[in-house]
Amino acid sequence: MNRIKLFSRLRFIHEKPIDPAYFTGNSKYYSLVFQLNQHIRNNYLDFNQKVESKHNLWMSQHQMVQDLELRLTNDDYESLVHKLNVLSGVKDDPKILSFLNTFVSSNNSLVKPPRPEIKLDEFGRSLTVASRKTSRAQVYLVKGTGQVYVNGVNMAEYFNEIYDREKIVKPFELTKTLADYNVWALVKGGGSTGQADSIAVAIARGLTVHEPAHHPVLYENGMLKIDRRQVEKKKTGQPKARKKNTWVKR
Amino acid sequence: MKLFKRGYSSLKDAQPILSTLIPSAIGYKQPSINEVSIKALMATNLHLGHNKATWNPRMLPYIYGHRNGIHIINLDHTITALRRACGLIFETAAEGGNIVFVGTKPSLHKLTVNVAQQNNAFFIIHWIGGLITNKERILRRSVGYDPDKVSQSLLPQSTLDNLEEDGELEDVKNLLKKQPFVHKPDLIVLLDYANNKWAAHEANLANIPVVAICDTDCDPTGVSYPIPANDDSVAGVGLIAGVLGKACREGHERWMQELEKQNELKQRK
Repeated sequence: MNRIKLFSRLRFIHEKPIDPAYFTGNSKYYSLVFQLNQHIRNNYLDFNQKVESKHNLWMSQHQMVQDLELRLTNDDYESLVHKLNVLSGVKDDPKILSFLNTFVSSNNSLVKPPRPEIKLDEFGRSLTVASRKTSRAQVYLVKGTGQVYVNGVNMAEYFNEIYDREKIVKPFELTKTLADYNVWALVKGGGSTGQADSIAVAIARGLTVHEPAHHPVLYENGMLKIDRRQVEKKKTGQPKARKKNTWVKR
Repeated sequence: MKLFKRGYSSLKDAQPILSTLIPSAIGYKQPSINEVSIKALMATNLHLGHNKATWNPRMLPYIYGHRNGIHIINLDHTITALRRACGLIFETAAEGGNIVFVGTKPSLHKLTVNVAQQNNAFFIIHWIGGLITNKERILRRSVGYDPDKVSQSLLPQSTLDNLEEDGELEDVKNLLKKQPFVHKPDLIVLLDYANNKWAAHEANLANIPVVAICDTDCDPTGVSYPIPANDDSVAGVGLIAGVLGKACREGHERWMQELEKQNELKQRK
Protein backbone atom coordinates (compact mmCIF):
# COMPACT_ATOMS: atom_id res chain seq x y z
CA MET A 1 0.00 0.00 0.00
CA ASN A 2 1.39 3.39 -0.93
CA ARG A 3 1.27 5.44 2.21
CA ILE A 4 1.92 9.16 1.82
CA LYS A 5 4.90 9.98 4.01
CA LEU A 6 3.71 13.01 5.91
CA PHE A 7 6.83 13.72 7.91
CA SER A 8 10.49 14.16 7.12
CA ARG A 9 13.06 11.49 7.89
CA LEU A 10 14.92 13.78 10.28
CA ARG A 11 12.27 13.32 12.94
CA PHE A 12 12.89 9.63 13.30
CA ILE A 13 16.52 10.02 14.26
CA HIS A 14 15.20 11.27 17.57
CA GLU A 15 12.91 8.88 19.38
CA LYS A 16 9.34 9.84 20.00
CA PRO A 17 8.85 11.10 23.56
CA ILE A 18 7.17 8.71 25.98
CA ASP A 19 6.02 10.97 28.80
CA PRO A 20 2.43 12.18 28.23
CA ALA A 21 3.37 15.44 29.96
CA TYR A 22 6.26 16.17 27.57
CA PHE A 23 4.56 19.15 25.93
CA THR A 24 3.57 20.74 29.23
CA GLY A 25 7.24 21.46 29.92
CA ASN A 26 6.52 20.67 33.57
CA SER A 27 6.20 16.90 33.79
CA LYS A 28 7.69 16.57 37.28
CA TYR A 29 5.08 18.94 38.68
CA TYR A 30 2.25 16.96 37.14
CA SER A 31 3.58 13.61 38.30
CA LEU A 32 3.94 14.95 41.86
CA VAL A 33 0.48 16.51 41.84
CA PHE A 34 -1.13 13.35 40.50
CA GLN A 35 0.57 11.30 43.22
CA LEU A 36 -0.60 13.81 45.83
CA ASN A 37 -4.17 13.70 44.59
CA GLN A 38 -4.09 9.90 44.55
CA HIS A 39 -2.87 9.76 48.15
CA ILE A 40 -5.56 12.19 49.27
CA ARG A 41 -8.27 10.18 47.54
CA ASN A 42 -6.98 6.87 48.87
CA ASN A 43 -7.22 8.18 52.42
CA TYR A 44 -10.71 9.63 51.89
CA LEU A 45 -9.60 13.14 52.83
CA ASP A 46 -11.54 16.24 51.86
CA PHE A 47 -9.81 18.49 49.32
CA ASN A 48 -11.73 21.53 50.52
CA GLN A 49 -11.25 21.16 54.26
CA LYS A 50 -9.82 24.08 56.18
CA VAL A 51 -6.33 23.31 57.39
CA GLU A 52 -3.96 25.27 59.59
CA SER A 53 -0.90 26.42 57.74
CA LYS A 54 2.33 24.80 58.91
CA HIS A 55 4.70 27.66 59.49
CA ASN A 56 7.93 27.23 57.52
CA LEU A 57 7.55 23.47 57.20
CA TRP A 58 7.24 23.26 53.42
CA MET A 59 9.79 24.55 50.94
CA SER A 60 9.26 28.05 49.63
CA GLN A 61 8.14 28.57 46.05
CA HIS A 62 11.63 29.54 44.96
CA GLN A 63 13.14 26.48 46.63
CA MET A 64 10.69 24.14 44.96
CA VAL A 65 11.39 25.65 41.54
CA GLN A 66 15.13 25.20 41.99
CA ASP A 67 15.42 21.91 43.87
CA LEU A 68 12.50 19.97 42.41
CA GLU A 69 12.78 21.54 38.91
CA LEU A 70 9.16 22.62 38.72
CA ARG A 71 7.46 25.54 37.04
CA LEU A 72 5.12 27.08 39.61
CA THR A 73 2.79 30.04 39.42
CA ASN A 74 1.68 31.62 42.69
CA ASP A 75 -1.69 29.87 42.47
CA ASP A 76 -0.02 26.53 41.74
CA TYR A 77 2.19 26.91 44.80
CA GLU A 78 -0.69 27.86 47.08
CA SER A 79 -2.87 24.96 46.01
CA LEU A 80 0.08 22.58 46.32
CA VAL A 81 0.81 23.72 49.87
CA HIS A 82 -2.86 23.43 50.76
CA LYS A 83 -2.94 19.83 49.53
CA LEU A 84 0.25 19.05 51.45
CA ASN A 85 -1.34 20.43 54.61
CA VAL A 86 -4.40 18.27 53.97
CA LEU A 87 -2.30 15.14 53.46
CA SER A 88 -0.10 15.77 56.48
CA GLY A 89 -3.14 14.92 58.60
CA VAL A 90 -2.30 11.27 57.92
CA LYS A 91 0.45 10.24 60.31
CA ASP A 92 0.78 6.47 60.27
CA ASP A 93 1.68 5.66 56.70
CA PRO A 94 5.46 5.58 56.04
CA LYS A 95 4.94 5.84 52.25
CA ILE A 96 3.07 9.10 52.66
CA LEU A 97 5.68 10.44 55.10
CA SER A 98 8.50 9.70 52.67
CA PHE A 99 6.50 11.31 49.86
CA LEU A 100 5.83 14.42 51.94
CA ASN A 101 9.52 14.60 52.85
CA THR A 102 10.37 15.63 49.29
CA PHE A 103 8.58 18.93 49.97
CA VAL A 104 9.95 19.66 53.44
CA SER A 105 12.47 22.50 53.65
CA SER A 106 15.98 21.70 54.78
CA ASN A 107 15.67 23.30 58.21
CA ASN A 108 12.62 21.37 59.28
CA SER A 109 11.35 17.82 59.60
CA LEU A 110 7.86 16.40 59.38
CA VAL A 111 8.07 14.55 62.64
CA LYS A 112 9.20 16.88 65.34
CA PRO A 113 12.20 15.52 67.22
CA PRO A 114 11.28 15.04 70.88
CA ARG A 115 12.52 17.53 73.38
CA PRO A 116 15.66 16.23 75.06
CA GLU A 117 14.91 15.26 78.65
CA ILE A 118 16.93 17.01 81.26
CA LYS A 119 18.62 14.51 83.56
CA LEU A 120 20.73 14.64 86.68
CA ASP A 121 24.43 14.60 85.95
CA GLU A 122 27.12 12.46 87.61
CA PHE A 123 27.10 14.61 90.75
CA GLY A 124 23.34 14.44 91.15
CA ARG A 125 22.84 18.03 89.93
CA SER A 126 20.18 19.30 87.56
CA LEU A 127 21.01 22.20 85.26
CA THR A 128 17.95 24.24 84.25
CA VAL A 129 17.57 27.54 82.46
CA ALA A 130 15.01 30.36 82.61
CA SER A 131 14.68 34.05 81.80
CA ARG A 132 12.71 37.16 82.65
CA LYS A 133 12.88 40.45 80.78
CA THR A 134 16.59 40.59 79.87
CA SER A 135 17.88 38.33 82.65
CA ARG A 136 19.13 34.85 81.89
CA ALA A 137 19.61 32.37 84.73
CA GLN A 138 21.30 28.98 84.88
CA VAL A 139 20.59 27.06 88.07
CA TYR A 140 22.26 23.95 89.47
CA LEU A 141 20.01 22.15 91.95
CA VAL A 142 21.46 19.38 94.11
CA LYS A 143 20.31 17.60 97.24
CA GLY A 144 21.67 19.46 100.24
CA THR A 145 20.89 21.58 103.23
CA GLY A 146 19.01 24.54 101.80
CA GLN A 147 21.75 27.00 100.86
CA VAL A 148 21.21 29.38 97.97
CA TYR A 149 24.14 31.06 96.20
CA VAL A 150 23.68 33.55 93.36
CA ASN A 151 26.72 34.48 91.25
CA GLY A 152 28.99 33.18 93.99
CA VAL A 153 27.35 35.25 96.71
CA ASN A 154 24.77 34.29 99.31
CA MET A 155 21.20 35.10 98.30
CA ALA A 156 20.67 37.32 101.31
CA GLU A 157 23.59 39.54 100.30
CA TYR A 158 22.80 39.56 96.58
CA PHE A 159 19.10 40.42 96.80
CA ASN A 160 18.34 43.33 99.14
CA GLU A 161 14.58 43.31 98.66
CA ILE A 162 12.28 40.88 100.49
CA TYR A 163 10.18 40.37 97.33
CA ASP A 164 13.10 38.93 95.41
CA ARG A 165 14.08 36.54 98.19
CA GLU A 166 10.50 35.37 98.70
CA LYS A 167 10.14 34.72 94.98
CA ILE A 168 13.19 32.46 94.99
CA VAL A 169 11.99 30.52 98.05
CA LYS A 170 8.44 30.11 96.76
CA PRO A 171 9.01 26.92 94.72
CA PHE A 172 10.40 25.22 97.85
CA GLU A 173 7.46 26.45 99.93
CA LEU A 174 4.93 25.07 97.47
CA THR A 175 6.55 21.66 97.29
CA LYS A 176 7.48 21.60 100.98
CA THR A 177 11.16 20.99 100.24
CA LEU A 178 12.55 24.01 102.05
CA ALA A 179 15.83 22.60 103.39
CA ASP A 180 16.23 19.72 100.96
CA TYR A 181 18.16 21.28 98.10
CA ASN A 182 21.19 23.48 97.52
CA VAL A 183 21.00 26.08 94.78
CA TRP A 184 23.95 27.39 92.74
CA ALA A 185 22.60 30.10 90.41
CA LEU A 186 24.44 32.02 87.68
CA VAL A 187 22.48 34.97 86.39
CA LYS A 188 23.30 37.88 84.13
CA GLY A 189 21.43 40.74 82.55
CA GLY A 190 18.51 42.80 83.78
CA GLY A 191 17.75 44.14 87.22
CA SER A 192 17.09 42.57 90.60
CA THR A 193 13.45 41.63 90.01
CA GLY A 194 14.13 40.14 86.61
CA GLN A 195 17.05 38.11 87.90
CA ALA A 196 15.06 36.87 90.91
CA ASP A 197 12.11 35.78 88.81
CA SER A 198 14.29 33.97 86.32
CA ILE A 199 16.06 32.10 89.10
CA ALA A 200 12.70 31.14 90.60
CA VAL A 201 11.44 29.57 87.38
CA ALA A 202 14.73 27.75 86.87
CA ILE A 203 14.51 26.36 90.40
CA ALA A 204 10.96 25.15 89.77
CA ARG A 205 12.08 23.39 86.59
CA GLY A 206 14.97 21.82 88.48
CA LEU A 207 12.57 20.51 91.12
CA THR A 208 10.50 18.74 88.43
CA VAL A 209 13.68 17.13 87.14
CA HIS A 210 14.54 15.79 90.58
CA GLU A 211 10.97 14.75 91.39
CA PRO A 212 8.42 14.69 88.55
CA ALA A 213 5.70 14.42 91.19
CA HIS A 214 6.21 18.12 92.00
CA HIS A 215 5.09 19.11 88.53
CA PRO A 216 1.29 19.56 89.14
CA VAL A 217 1.68 21.83 92.15
CA LEU A 218 4.22 24.06 90.50
CA TYR A 219 2.29 24.14 87.20
CA GLU A 220 -0.96 25.19 88.86
CA ASN A 221 0.79 28.06 90.61
CA GLY A 222 2.41 29.20 87.41
CA MET A 223 5.92 28.65 88.67
CA LEU A 224 7.01 26.75 85.57
CA LYS A 225 5.98 29.41 83.09
CA ILE A 226 8.47 31.97 81.79
CA ASP A 227 6.99 35.48 81.80
CA ARG A 228 7.44 36.55 78.19
CA ARG A 229 6.63 40.21 78.68
CA GLN A 230 9.43 42.48 77.50
CA VAL A 231 9.91 46.25 77.56
CA GLU A 232 7.80 47.78 74.81
CA LYS A 233 9.49 49.77 72.09
CA LYS A 234 9.41 53.56 72.22
CA LYS A 235 7.71 54.93 69.13
CA THR A 236 8.79 57.90 67.04
CA GLY A 237 6.75 61.08 67.56
CA GLN A 238 5.87 60.03 71.10
CA PRO A 239 7.82 60.55 74.32
CA LYS A 240 7.40 56.89 75.40
CA ALA A 241 5.92 53.58 74.23
CA ARG A 242 2.35 54.54 75.04
CA LYS A 243 2.48 58.13 76.30
CA LYS A 244 1.51 60.58 73.60
CA ASN A 245 2.29 64.26 73.27
CA THR A 246 -0.13 66.76 74.75
CA TRP A 247 -3.27 66.95 72.64
CA VAL A 248 -3.62 70.37 71.05
CA LYS A 249 -6.97 71.52 69.74
CA ARG A 250 -5.46 73.45 66.87
CA MET B 1 -40.81 24.59 13.10
CA LYS B 2 -40.18 20.86 13.30
CA LEU B 3 -36.97 20.49 15.26
CA PHE B 4 -36.05 16.86 14.83
CA LYS B 5 -36.03 15.52 11.28
CA ARG B 6 -36.48 11.90 12.28
CA GLY B 7 -39.33 12.54 14.67
CA TYR B 8 -37.76 11.86 18.06
CA SER B 9 -40.32 13.15 20.52
CA SER B 10 -38.19 12.76 23.63
CA LEU B 11 -34.72 11.74 24.76
CA LYS B 12 -35.92 8.62 26.56
CA ASP B 13 -34.51 6.41 23.80
CA ALA B 14 -31.10 7.90 24.38
CA GLN B 15 -30.90 7.00 28.09
CA PRO B 16 -29.36 3.52 27.88
CA ILE B 17 -26.47 4.80 25.73
CA LEU B 18 -25.50 7.42 28.27
CA SER B 19 -24.48 4.83 30.82
CA THR B 20 -21.54 3.46 28.86
CA LEU B 21 -20.25 6.28 26.71
CA ILE B 22 -19.21 8.92 29.25
CA PRO B 23 -15.78 8.53 30.86
CA SER B 24 -17.02 9.12 34.38
CA ALA B 25 -19.75 6.46 34.13
CA ILE B 26 -19.60 3.02 35.68
CA GLY B 27 -18.92 0.36 33.06
CA TYR B 28 -17.36 2.92 30.70
CA LYS B 29 -16.31 1.43 27.41
CA GLN B 30 -14.34 3.72 25.12
CA PRO B 31 -16.39 4.04 21.92
CA SER B 32 -14.93 3.89 18.45
CA ILE B 33 -16.28 6.20 15.77
CA ASN B 34 -18.40 3.38 14.30
CA GLU B 35 -20.30 2.98 17.58
CA VAL B 36 -21.26 6.64 17.90
CA SER B 37 -24.59 7.74 16.49
CA ILE B 38 -26.42 11.04 16.45
CA LYS B 39 -28.52 9.61 19.27
CA ALA B 40 -25.47 9.43 21.51
CA LEU B 41 -24.42 12.96 20.59
CA MET B 42 -27.86 14.25 21.52
CA ALA B 43 -27.86 12.34 24.79
CA THR B 44 -24.81 14.29 25.92
CA ASN B 45 -26.31 17.61 24.81
CA LEU B 46 -23.80 18.27 22.07
CA HIS B 47 -26.43 19.89 19.90
CA LEU B 48 -27.06 22.81 22.24
CA GLY B 49 -25.34 25.98 21.11
CA HIS B 50 -25.10 29.35 22.79
CA ASN B 51 -27.42 32.32 22.92
CA LYS B 52 -28.74 33.51 19.58
CA ALA B 53 -27.33 36.98 20.15
CA THR B 54 -23.78 35.82 20.86
CA TRP B 55 -23.34 33.73 17.75
CA ASN B 56 -20.52 33.93 15.23
CA PRO B 57 -22.01 34.22 11.74
CA ARG B 58 -19.24 31.99 10.37
CA MET B 59 -20.92 29.06 12.12
CA LEU B 60 -24.00 29.47 9.96
CA PRO B 61 -23.39 26.33 7.85
CA TYR B 62 -23.33 24.20 11.00
CA ILE B 63 -26.44 25.59 12.67
CA TYR B 64 -29.76 23.78 12.31
CA GLY B 65 -31.99 26.46 13.79
CA HIS B 66 -32.91 27.93 17.13
CA ARG B 67 -35.13 27.05 20.05
CA ASN B 68 -35.75 28.83 23.34
CA GLY B 69 -33.31 31.57 22.36
CA ILE B 70 -30.32 29.26 21.76
CA HIS B 71 -28.96 27.97 18.49
CA ILE B 72 -29.13 24.25 17.77
CA ILE B 73 -26.15 22.67 16.05
CA ASN B 74 -26.75 20.32 13.12
CA LEU B 75 -25.52 16.95 14.32
CA ASP B 76 -25.12 15.62 10.79
CA HIS B 77 -22.24 18.02 10.40
CA THR B 78 -20.92 17.08 13.79
CA ILE B 79 -20.81 13.40 13.02
CA THR B 80 -19.12 13.93 9.64
CA ALA B 81 -16.57 16.25 11.19
CA LEU B 82 -15.92 13.69 13.92
CA ARG B 83 -15.37 10.97 11.34
CA ARG B 84 -12.99 13.18 9.40
CA ALA B 85 -11.07 14.04 12.56
CA CYS B 86 -10.85 10.38 13.58
CA GLY B 87 -9.43 9.42 10.20
CA LEU B 88 -6.90 12.22 10.42
CA ILE B 89 -5.82 11.26 13.93
CA PHE B 90 -5.52 7.60 12.95
CA GLU B 91 -3.32 8.41 9.99
CA THR B 92 -1.14 10.82 11.95
CA ALA B 93 -0.63 8.36 14.79
CA ALA B 94 0.10 5.54 12.31
CA GLU B 95 3.00 7.65 10.98
CA GLY B 96 4.35 8.06 14.50
CA GLY B 97 2.99 11.55 14.97
CA ASN B 98 2.65 13.35 18.32
CA ILE B 99 -0.97 14.10 19.15
CA VAL B 100 -1.66 16.60 21.91
CA PHE B 101 -4.97 17.02 23.70
CA VAL B 102 -5.48 20.51 25.09
CA GLY B 103 -8.15 21.16 27.74
CA THR B 104 -7.62 24.23 29.90
CA LYS B 105 -10.99 24.52 31.63
CA PRO B 106 -10.75 23.14 35.21
CA SER B 107 -13.69 20.81 34.59
CA LEU B 108 -11.81 19.26 31.66
CA HIS B 109 -8.45 18.74 33.35
CA LYS B 110 -9.05 15.19 34.53
CA LEU B 111 -10.61 14.25 31.22
CA THR B 112 -7.69 15.43 29.07
CA VAL B 113 -5.10 13.80 31.31
CA ASN B 114 -6.90 10.47 31.25
CA VAL B 115 -7.45 10.55 27.50
CA ALA B 116 -3.78 11.28 26.91
CA GLN B 117 -2.44 8.72 29.37
CA GLN B 118 -4.64 5.89 28.12
CA ASN B 119 -4.22 6.45 24.38
CA ASN B 120 -0.48 7.11 23.89
CA ALA B 121 -1.02 10.83 23.39
CA PHE B 122 0.07 13.99 25.21
CA PHE B 123 -1.88 16.45 27.32
CA ILE B 124 -1.65 20.15 27.99
CA ILE B 125 -3.64 21.60 30.86
CA HIS B 126 -2.23 25.14 30.84
CA TRP B 127 -1.28 26.62 27.50
CA ILE B 128 1.93 28.61 27.85
CA GLY B 129 2.45 31.10 25.03
CA GLY B 130 5.43 30.12 22.91
CA LEU B 131 5.04 26.39 23.43
CA ILE B 132 5.65 25.80 19.74
CA THR B 133 7.36 28.92 18.49
CA ASN B 134 9.68 29.19 21.51
CA LYS B 135 9.88 25.50 22.33
CA GLU B 136 13.57 25.44 23.27
CA ARG B 137 12.86 27.62 26.27
CA ILE B 138 9.40 26.51 27.32
CA LEU B 139 10.17 22.80 27.11
CA ARG B 140 13.63 23.07 28.69
CA ARG B 141 12.56 21.00 31.69
CA SER B 142 11.25 18.20 29.49
CA VAL B 143 14.53 18.08 27.60
CA GLY B 144 16.95 18.79 30.45
CA TYR B 145 18.80 21.60 28.65
CA ASP B 146 18.35 25.28 29.56
CA PRO B 147 19.62 27.33 26.62
CA ASP B 148 19.85 30.55 28.63
CA LYS B 149 21.90 29.07 31.47
CA VAL B 150 24.32 27.25 29.23
CA SER B 151 25.05 30.25 27.04
CA GLN B 152 25.65 32.35 30.13
CA SER B 153 28.05 29.93 31.75
CA LEU B 154 31.21 31.23 30.19
CA LEU B 155 34.27 29.31 31.17
CA PRO B 156 37.14 31.33 32.71
CA GLN B 157 40.27 31.77 30.60
CA SER B 158 42.42 29.48 32.77
CA THR B 159 40.20 26.45 32.14
CA LEU B 160 40.00 27.28 28.45
CA ASP B 161 43.82 27.30 28.28
CA ASN B 162 43.98 23.96 30.06
CA LEU B 163 41.47 22.46 27.68
CA GLU B 164 43.38 23.73 24.67
CA GLU B 165 46.46 21.89 25.89
CA ASP B 166 44.50 18.65 26.29
CA GLY B 167 42.83 19.09 22.90
CA GLU B 168 39.33 19.08 24.40
CA LEU B 169 38.48 22.71 23.74
CA GLU B 170 36.48 22.04 20.61
CA ASP B 171 34.46 19.27 22.24
CA VAL B 172 33.46 21.52 25.14
CA LYS B 173 32.55 24.38 22.83
CA ASN B 174 30.38 22.05 20.80
CA LEU B 175 28.72 20.79 23.97
CA LEU B 176 27.87 24.33 24.94
CA LYS B 177 26.26 25.00 21.58
CA LYS B 178 24.47 21.68 21.29
CA GLN B 179 20.74 22.06 21.83
CA PRO B 180 19.08 18.65 21.99
CA PHE B 181 16.16 18.04 19.68
CA VAL B 182 12.86 19.43 21.00
CA HIS B 183 9.78 17.71 19.63
CA LYS B 184 6.83 19.53 18.15
CA PRO B 185 3.25 18.35 18.26
CA ASP B 186 2.10 16.95 14.93
CA LEU B 187 -1.57 17.49 15.66
CA ILE B 188 -3.38 19.48 18.32
CA VAL B 189 -6.85 18.63 19.58
CA LEU B 190 -8.44 21.60 21.31
CA LEU B 191 -11.21 20.52 23.64
CA ASP B 192 -11.64 24.11 24.76
CA TYR B 193 -11.18 26.29 21.66
CA ALA B 194 -13.17 29.23 23.02
CA ASN B 195 -10.52 29.86 25.69
CA ASN B 196 -7.49 28.88 23.59
CA LYS B 197 -7.53 30.99 20.45
CA TRP B 198 -3.83 31.73 20.92
CA ALA B 199 -3.07 28.05 20.82
CA ALA B 200 -4.77 27.72 17.44
CA HIS B 201 -2.96 30.85 16.23
CA GLU B 202 0.42 29.48 17.26
CA ALA B 203 -0.30 26.13 15.65
CA ASN B 204 -1.22 27.88 12.41
CA LEU B 205 2.08 29.79 12.49
CA ALA B 206 3.93 26.49 12.81
CA ASN B 207 1.83 24.72 10.15
CA ILE B 208 0.41 22.22 12.63
CA PRO B 209 -3.16 21.02 11.92
CA VAL B 210 -5.70 21.70 14.64
CA VAL B 211 -8.85 19.78 15.48
CA ALA B 212 -11.15 21.85 17.68
CA ILE B 213 -14.61 21.67 19.17
CA CYS B 214 -16.33 24.82 17.91
CA ASP B 215 -19.42 26.16 19.57
CA THR B 216 -21.82 28.62 17.94
CA ASP B 217 -19.86 31.59 19.29
CA CYS B 218 -16.49 30.42 17.90
CA ASP B 219 -14.81 31.22 14.60
CA PRO B 220 -14.29 27.93 12.74
CA THR B 221 -12.01 29.47 10.12
CA GLY B 222 -9.15 29.73 12.63
CA VAL B 223 -8.97 25.96 12.84
CA SER B 224 -8.13 23.31 10.26
CA TYR B 225 -10.72 20.73 11.28
CA PRO B 226 -13.58 22.22 13.30
CA ILE B 227 -16.06 19.91 15.01
CA PRO B 228 -19.23 21.90 15.57
CA ALA B 229 -20.52 20.85 19.00
CA ASN B 230 -21.36 22.13 22.44
CA ASP B 231 -18.17 22.80 24.42
CA ASP B 232 -19.92 23.42 27.74
CA SER B 233 -21.16 19.91 28.41
CA VAL B 234 -18.44 17.87 30.11
CA ALA B 235 -20.10 14.58 29.18
CA GLY B 236 -20.24 15.64 25.54
CA VAL B 237 -16.60 16.68 25.46
CA GLY B 238 -15.79 13.38 27.18
CA LEU B 239 -17.55 11.47 24.46
CA ILE B 240 -15.71 13.30 21.68
CA ALA B 241 -12.38 12.98 23.46
CA GLY B 242 -12.99 9.25 23.96
CA VAL B 243 -13.70 8.73 20.29
CA LEU B 244 -10.65 10.71 19.16
CA GLY B 245 -8.51 8.96 21.74
CA LYS B 246 -9.59 5.56 20.47
CA ALA B 247 -8.57 6.57 16.95
CA CYS B 248 -5.23 7.73 18.33
CA ARG B 249 -4.63 4.43 20.09
CA GLU B 250 -5.49 2.37 17.03
CA GLY B 251 -3.12 4.47 14.95
CA HIS B 252 -0.39 3.99 17.52
CA GLU B 253 -0.88 0.22 17.40
CA ARG B 254 -0.54 0.32 13.61
CA TRP B 255 2.68 2.33 14.06
CA MET B 256 4.09 -0.27 16.47
CA GLN B 257 3.25 -3.07 14.01
CA GLU B 258 5.12 -1.28 11.24
CA LEU B 259 8.13 -0.73 13.48
CA GLU B 260 8.21 -4.42 14.32
CA LYS B 261 8.08 -5.31 10.64
CA GLN B 262 10.98 -2.96 9.94
CA ASN B 263 12.97 -4.50 12.79
CA GLU B 264 12.31 -8.00 11.43
CA LEU B 265 13.50 -6.96 8.00
CA LYS B 266 16.68 -5.49 9.50
CA GLN B 267 17.37 -8.64 11.50
CA ARG B 268 16.95 -10.84 8.44
CA LYS B 269 19.51 -8.69 6.58
